[in-house]
Amino acid sequence: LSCNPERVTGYVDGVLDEASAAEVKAHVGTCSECREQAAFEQDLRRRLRGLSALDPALDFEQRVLKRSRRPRRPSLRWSLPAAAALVAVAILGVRTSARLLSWELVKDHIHCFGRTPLEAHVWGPDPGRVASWFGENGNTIPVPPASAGGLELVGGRRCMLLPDAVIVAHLLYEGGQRRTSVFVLPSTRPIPDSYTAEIDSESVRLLRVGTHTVGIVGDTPEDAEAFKRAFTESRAWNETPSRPFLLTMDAALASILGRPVGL
Amino acid sequence: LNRDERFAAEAVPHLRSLFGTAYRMTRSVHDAEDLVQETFLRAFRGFDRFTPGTNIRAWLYTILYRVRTDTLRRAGRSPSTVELTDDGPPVPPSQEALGDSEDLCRALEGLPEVFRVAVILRDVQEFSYEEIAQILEVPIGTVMSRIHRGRALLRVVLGGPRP
Repeated sequence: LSCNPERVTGYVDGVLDEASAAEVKAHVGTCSECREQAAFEQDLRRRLRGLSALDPALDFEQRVLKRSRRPRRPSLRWSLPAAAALVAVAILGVRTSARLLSWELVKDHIHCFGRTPLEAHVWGPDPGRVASWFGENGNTIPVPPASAGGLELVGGRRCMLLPDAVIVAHLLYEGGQRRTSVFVLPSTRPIPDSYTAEIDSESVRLLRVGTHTVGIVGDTPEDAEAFKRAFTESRAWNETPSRPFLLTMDAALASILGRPVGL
Repeated sequence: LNRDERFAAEAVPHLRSLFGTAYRMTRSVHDAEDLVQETFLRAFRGFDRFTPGTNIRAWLYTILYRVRTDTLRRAGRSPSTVELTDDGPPVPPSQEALGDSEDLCRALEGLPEVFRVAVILRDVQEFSYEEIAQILEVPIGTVMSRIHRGRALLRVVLGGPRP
């Protein structure tokens, strides 16, 4: 039998069938090279088993559980107390850093555009229609730009941002393989006047336009900048005052269930 | 027990080991936290598809690995598959032959991800070849080959004789 180092690994791990194991065992008895390999691997296994565990931050378990239970399609029975709890948190006004907010927007951008078919609640390309759909569903926004940087409005959806469970308008733009998300955030979010970040190879811009706070997530910095310009230069966005965000039980439930509800 | 309580009782005990593996996979606390967050999010959503009494640990690791490959794919990368050539491994060999566990950790971190993951699952987490095949969604022969390559690289890095 000639040397077969891969089978020596299988032999050390005890996964070979009886006949093969016997063959390798006999070979290892006569071949110093394979014997050294087997001895090294046995010793390595012992040392790797003994590696100390790596512990996450103390509050990690709580954070993970809290986020995991953020429901997508839960039963109404489950949603009611959850929504009530989320609304209560919203009223407390948990503050979020710009970085954390950006991170969340990127997750949402990737999540939405990663789904086929795209999950929109209202479809483009008419910006007027998209804006009025948001108005009817509790998020009053000015008419958004129909396109920017070669990307066009394809639709919109309402999504909930943690930790304060606020429901924001999420505008979806596409052009070729590129996608951009524009989130219309409540002005209560404490962010700097202008904020730039790169997260998971997405470009994030947070900015204030008139009384609005806008979060942009683009696949490239150029796209993010094009949208930043489009919104900054939009008369509608600079002049139309934003209505205070009404976070009602209805709205929270509608967002969780993905459709309006009448209670 | 309702669904929520069952999930907490079955999945949460594995959180620490998942984090440890995620950290050794991504080499970043931040990325490891993200990875485990997303894993638990998907696990919670898909918990109805999990058959009670079957291997939840392997199931969670399968999701973890899938989330990791999805993340890398979105970033336009794939777990690196640098070949072992005569020029040696991608990290310089340690001076102290068979050093302490710090050397071992550093050597492990230097492995290309595909081999590192296979070695971690086998030698740190002690999964069977069958479980690793399920987690990585590859044939058992590939599992053996990756574990072998990973250990062979470690042997070079840790200063043992060249295999």
